[in-house]
Amino acid sequence: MTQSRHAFISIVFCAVAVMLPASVWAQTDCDLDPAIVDAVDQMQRSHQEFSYSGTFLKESSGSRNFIEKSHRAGDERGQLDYVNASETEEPQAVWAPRGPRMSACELGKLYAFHLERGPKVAGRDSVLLHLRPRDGLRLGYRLALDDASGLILKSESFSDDGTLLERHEYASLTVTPKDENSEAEGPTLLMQHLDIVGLPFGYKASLARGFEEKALFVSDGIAAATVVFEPLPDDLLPGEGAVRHGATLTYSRGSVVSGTGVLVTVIGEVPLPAARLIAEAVRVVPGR
Amino acid sequence: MTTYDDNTTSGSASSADHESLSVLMDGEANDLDIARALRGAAESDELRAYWRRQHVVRDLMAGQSGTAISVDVSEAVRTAIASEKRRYANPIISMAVAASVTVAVVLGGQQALLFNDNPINPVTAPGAIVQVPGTGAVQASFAESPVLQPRPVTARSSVPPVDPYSNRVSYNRLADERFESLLKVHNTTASAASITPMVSRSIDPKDSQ
Repeated sequence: MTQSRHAFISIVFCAVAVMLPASVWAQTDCDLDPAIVDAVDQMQRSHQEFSYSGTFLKESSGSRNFIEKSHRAGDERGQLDYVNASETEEPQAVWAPRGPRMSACELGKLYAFHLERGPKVAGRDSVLLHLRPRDGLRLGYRLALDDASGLILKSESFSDDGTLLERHEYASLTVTPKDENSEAEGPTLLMQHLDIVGLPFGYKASLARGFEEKALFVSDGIAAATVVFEPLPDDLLPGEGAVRHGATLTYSRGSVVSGTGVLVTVIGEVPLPAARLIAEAVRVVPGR
Repeated sequence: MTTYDDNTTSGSASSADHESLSVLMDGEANDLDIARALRGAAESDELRAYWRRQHVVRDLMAGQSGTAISVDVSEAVRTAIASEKRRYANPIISMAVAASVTVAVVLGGQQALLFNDNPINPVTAPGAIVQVPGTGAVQASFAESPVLQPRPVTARSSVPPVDPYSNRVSYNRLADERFESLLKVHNTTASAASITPMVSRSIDPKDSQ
């Protein structure tokens, strides 16, 4: 097994070693309603421009949790605290969205947008932004965006048949604009994309932040999946399996490459066909 | 939690198959296109090669370097599995091995099963691609169709009865374990997405290293 483990490491490194220069998802003009373009842009900038704290409800896989969240404008991390939890449950760090900003026009090739007046959420006025996938390779979303800041006040994720998979909704929220005198945030790092042939339409791959040696990150800008490589357990024949918890799918595929068993796991908010295509596209170079 | 089964089918390459793969790659596939592509690619090396070539051509036309860093391991995987299959004369073990061949090349499908409480019964054919009737590609247009109406949040469902002769059950269980162990990793990496519609991605980076 030691030998095959070495081969496996070789496989992973070969798969991720060659990278292309950074490519930014170019912004292009399109026929989208300017209000939609503004809404998408404001939503992406909101974490940089506003501090906020509040309590939201998360419903997923039949479970409900009330969670306090706080975030300071421009910070990379915020904090989460489960309100109703065991004594030992401690606050967790939470990442703010980061990475290359994708224009509404780019996203419009993958999702059909619809914007309308939204309900009051946490006492705040909102607009509803619907993102309906143009194919079966991503989930659908309905987002209630704060009128004033663009922050997501409520999000719902749907499968292709309209089944609600997961919901997050603020019950209370305090939003304050970024203090102009505060320290400017560092430059946003652009992701370097990997040249991986055969990814589903619109998806791009990069090394996974914080886990560059063992994982890839695949995203279309909204849908996100992490691909992790491991040695295939000795007692497991090649095969595949998947489970879904709320909006999150976990798909594992075991195969044998040049005598080495490799287990590829795709975990993310993607439909099964997309997970399979991603697993298929992440090819490996036989170990040397 | 939802687990799933799948089936496989076979077919042969045709111009319609090529066309279906092209529209799938362009993100314009409808249900029929996806079903045809899956069926056609099930037994066609040519069609799988066509799929790869089309991606390379598209990337080149988009101005991206065409330096492919990867090789297609599907043939190697199939060969490896085929040799294992010969080792196992036991028909029960062979059945499991035959099912495992489906991992060689998979081009999609199954979404209907994954989110369906009453999945279609699977049919398995060795060496083939997974394909299921009713695979749902969504052609979305708010101008033409009503806004999605949510149903109640689905409850975590139980794992189906264990079939001792199928490694699908083992893999479903494995995937469930990976969900528990990799969710924090995913939440960390997924924060790099342009938009994170999840509102929160709870993660303590220290725990995940």
